[in-house]
Amino acid sequence: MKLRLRSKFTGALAIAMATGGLAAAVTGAETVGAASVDSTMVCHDGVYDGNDNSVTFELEAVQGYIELPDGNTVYTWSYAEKGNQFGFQFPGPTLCADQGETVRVKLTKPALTGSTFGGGVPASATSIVFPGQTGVTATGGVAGLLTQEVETDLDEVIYEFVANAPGTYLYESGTDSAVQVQMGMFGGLVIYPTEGRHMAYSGHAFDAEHEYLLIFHEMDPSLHVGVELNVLAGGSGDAAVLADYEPLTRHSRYWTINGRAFPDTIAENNTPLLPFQPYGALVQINADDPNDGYTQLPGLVRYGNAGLDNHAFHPHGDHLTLIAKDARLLPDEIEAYTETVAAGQTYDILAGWEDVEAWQGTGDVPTAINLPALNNLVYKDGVTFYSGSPELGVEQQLPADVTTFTQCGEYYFPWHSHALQEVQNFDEGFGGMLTLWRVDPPKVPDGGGGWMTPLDCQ
Amino acid sequence: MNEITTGKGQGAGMTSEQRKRLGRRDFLRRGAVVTAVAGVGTAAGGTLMANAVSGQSGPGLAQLPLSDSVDYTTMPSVRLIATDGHFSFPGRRFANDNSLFGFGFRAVDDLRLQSAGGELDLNPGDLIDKYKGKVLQTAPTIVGIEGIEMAIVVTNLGLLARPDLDDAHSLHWHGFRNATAVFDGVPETSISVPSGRDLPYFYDPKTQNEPGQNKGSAGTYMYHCHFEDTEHVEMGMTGIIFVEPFDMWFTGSVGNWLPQRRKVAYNDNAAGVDSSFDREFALLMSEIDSTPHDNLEAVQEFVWSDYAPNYWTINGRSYPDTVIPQITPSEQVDAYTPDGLFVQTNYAEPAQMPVTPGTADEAAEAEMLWQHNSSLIQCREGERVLLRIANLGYEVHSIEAVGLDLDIIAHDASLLIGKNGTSDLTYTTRRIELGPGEARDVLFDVPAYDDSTAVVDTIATKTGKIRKYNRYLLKSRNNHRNSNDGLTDGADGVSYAAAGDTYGGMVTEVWVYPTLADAALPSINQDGLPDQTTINETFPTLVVPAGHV
Repeated sequence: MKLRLRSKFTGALAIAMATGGLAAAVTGAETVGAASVDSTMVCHDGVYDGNDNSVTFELEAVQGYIELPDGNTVYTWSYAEKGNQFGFQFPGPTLCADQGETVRVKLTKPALTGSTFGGGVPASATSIVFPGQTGVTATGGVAGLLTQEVETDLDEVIYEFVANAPGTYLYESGTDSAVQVQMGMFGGLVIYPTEGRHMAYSGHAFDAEHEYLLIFHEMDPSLHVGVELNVLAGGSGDAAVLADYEPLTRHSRYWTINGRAFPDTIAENNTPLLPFQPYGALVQINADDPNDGYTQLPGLVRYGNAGLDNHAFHPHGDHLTLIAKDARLLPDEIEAYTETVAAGQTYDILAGWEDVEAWQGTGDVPTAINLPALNNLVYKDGVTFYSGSPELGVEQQLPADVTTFTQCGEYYFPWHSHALQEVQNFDEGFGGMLTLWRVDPPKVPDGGGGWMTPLDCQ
Repeated sequence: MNEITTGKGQGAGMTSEQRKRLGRRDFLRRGAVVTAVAGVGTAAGGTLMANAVSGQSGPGLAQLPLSDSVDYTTMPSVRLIATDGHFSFPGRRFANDNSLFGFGFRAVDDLRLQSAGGELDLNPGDLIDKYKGKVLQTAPTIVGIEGIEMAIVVTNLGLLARPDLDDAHSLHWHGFRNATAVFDGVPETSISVPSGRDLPYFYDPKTQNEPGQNKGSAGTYMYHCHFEDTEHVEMGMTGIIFVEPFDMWFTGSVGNWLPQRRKVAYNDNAAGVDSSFDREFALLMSEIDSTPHDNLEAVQEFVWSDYAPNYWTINGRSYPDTVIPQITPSEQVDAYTPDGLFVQTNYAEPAQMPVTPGTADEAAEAEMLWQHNSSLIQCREGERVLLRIANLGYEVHSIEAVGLDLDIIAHDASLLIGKNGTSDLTYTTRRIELGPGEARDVLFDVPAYDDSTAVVDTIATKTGKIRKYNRYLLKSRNNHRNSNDGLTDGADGVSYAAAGDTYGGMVTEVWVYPTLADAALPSINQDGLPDQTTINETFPTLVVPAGHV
């Protein structure tokens, strides 16, 4: 494990420095940009077989530890693809398929390695269910309450269904769910329409470079510690044997997006500092200039709530456009500035930002507004995602003791749970179920007839 | 339609003189808006902020540079003071010396310029003298007009009870379209206001005809401090702000005023959704965990994941306090237009609160001197009532108006008319599910008055009127939230005759009066309920006693 910079007071600074994902931090007023973060949705495509138009995924039910921004590490269960370089990831891999394909998921449970730091989940049985799919068959293993289950490391269950309906889904454990899903046994499942992967649904195009999956979850560490202690003592971690955890008295302390809590959410995909939490959640889009003749398509953001609580997610910056709920198209689009995502629910959302003010190059904000000198204001903890200028795409000198993470004058807006106790990492604020929306300046002509992100923002 | 063609917003293409004239005229009209719809015991929409003169200082205070401001002659603006104060809830009364500590915003009381005897452009030193430690909850309801730029100036006066805390404050335009980062109010992604300074927060509520803005800006929003938001929102720095539609005020283009205001919540639309109303009420739902409030005052930490509320509020009050009438500073009732800029706020039935409470009712009203915003809904049979309901608590609330059908016309300041504005997606329901940070615009038809079940209006007697009404409850269906710290009776010696007392918490009342034209009921009809001129106006509206800030 690499040493990870931690600081209670400059968590955002520490993680950004450590990952190098955002701007490299520099003391003083200098602004140093680095390549923008890639935390677009990571598709696992499985193995395609043209003979029966199927994709096959081989998943293992595994255990491991994740890290949280307050320095805590938490024992979790999840799924990983067979051959995953770390043998573990959290949450499970995002499975992608195209409409009409047969999706085949093979689930096994590796033998325990004698350590809780690897190997399969110790649970006496486990499984996968696919809410929202129809005609799911399960073969192999042993019969469980909801589906066929894997009991030993010799079992293999094959789940199979036809990806009929495009949209955003979750998959999760169908065994001992109150414990196993809370322990982390879930992942995202995305089905693209027959038109292709540039559309969310037939007729709903988006900017294919800007597709994001945000899976919400919350954690009561006492559950995780209870399971961990039981497992260390040779137990299975099943609800029936847990002495230290009662789901009815659950008290969440961490709230995560894609298994990370802010500020880790804005680190890039596969950052080496969070080896078991590969998925970032920094949402990004180019602003649309309504007057430049180029129409910037909105990005697509897929919400999924794998937790037990409903979460009211509030995007700063603009209204979002809801197009589908639980992978079923709404009768018509609905705009919202906060949407409560129920437990187990998914949403498909278009996110665009119109540069209606177009202040850049026009002398800033309206003349009636007199902004104070930058050194007369407060920058929390001496670090900021503010460029120093109200103008999109403009960097301005900040006071000497302030470090900015901006690269090219882009805007950052928080997207977060508006149940504000959920934007905490146990007791530390500006954390938890929160990520940022990076709005880059509008695209510019690339000289070849196309449009591109300005070079200094790339 | 709209004359605005530059990308810079309202008036950008004009000369400064043109801007000034436009601004002056807009402002005169905005004075009328205050008269017509703002009120709520605040300087809503009509408060101006002047450029303070650098070096001006309050008595006994060092010079505080005040460089951050708005040119009030060209831009409608409101000045909000951010500081701390104490508040009254059942079981936590001033009378029992155990009121609850909190933070908040309040607008300056006197809307005139300092040169005209007012306090609009006072510097922080003077404001500290008058207001520090004397904040109001909830924050004033602020009104904007689609097509007219606006600004809210936040002035941070620091915390009287916690001089060791140097918390900044900020203002987040919650839910506004295509917001800019600099005015988003998030200290980590922009800037925030240190103690002793102020900062203007600008927003241009563009019309649907402007480029990139096909939905317009009308609707119900919120605003709140985003500095250490979990704490500052819980402490009470929350309010409702709404934008009135172009079609309410203009025809053809911005500035081309209709002869008379049209009472519509949204613009006319191809979907045929009718948003017209007779009365409107802003209701901000929230809840309070008294522990972090007490801890903060006692200089103790709080673990925010321990959050567990024990009070549930509407407009910063818990039932039965919610039905105590709207309260307003006397400065906003007195008629004055000395500088030619301000049009007074009219209240149909102002009632002076006594300096020293005499009756039990007056004692209850005096408890609300820092919580001006009533949620009492008074209306006449046959009227259409608009509720602007928003939630800045941390819990999902299920709200019902017992016995009434509710027409939901908009979610989150978005009229339910679909992508192309042609689908009527509005719906009728009995219950509003409202998550944290969400808002709904709700219309209901007031049912017929029934004299056989009517009760005597005990607050009407304050203005010498005789009325009766039918009582309906608007309440949280989460019945465990119909209590005050677990009790329905605070047992604190404070009671209010106009309210039932079998509930507590997130409950208010709808009072249905007979129509003025009902000649069959002359004994109660002689003092019929007046038309509403300001949002949340109650009859009477209580006027803060002289000498009380």
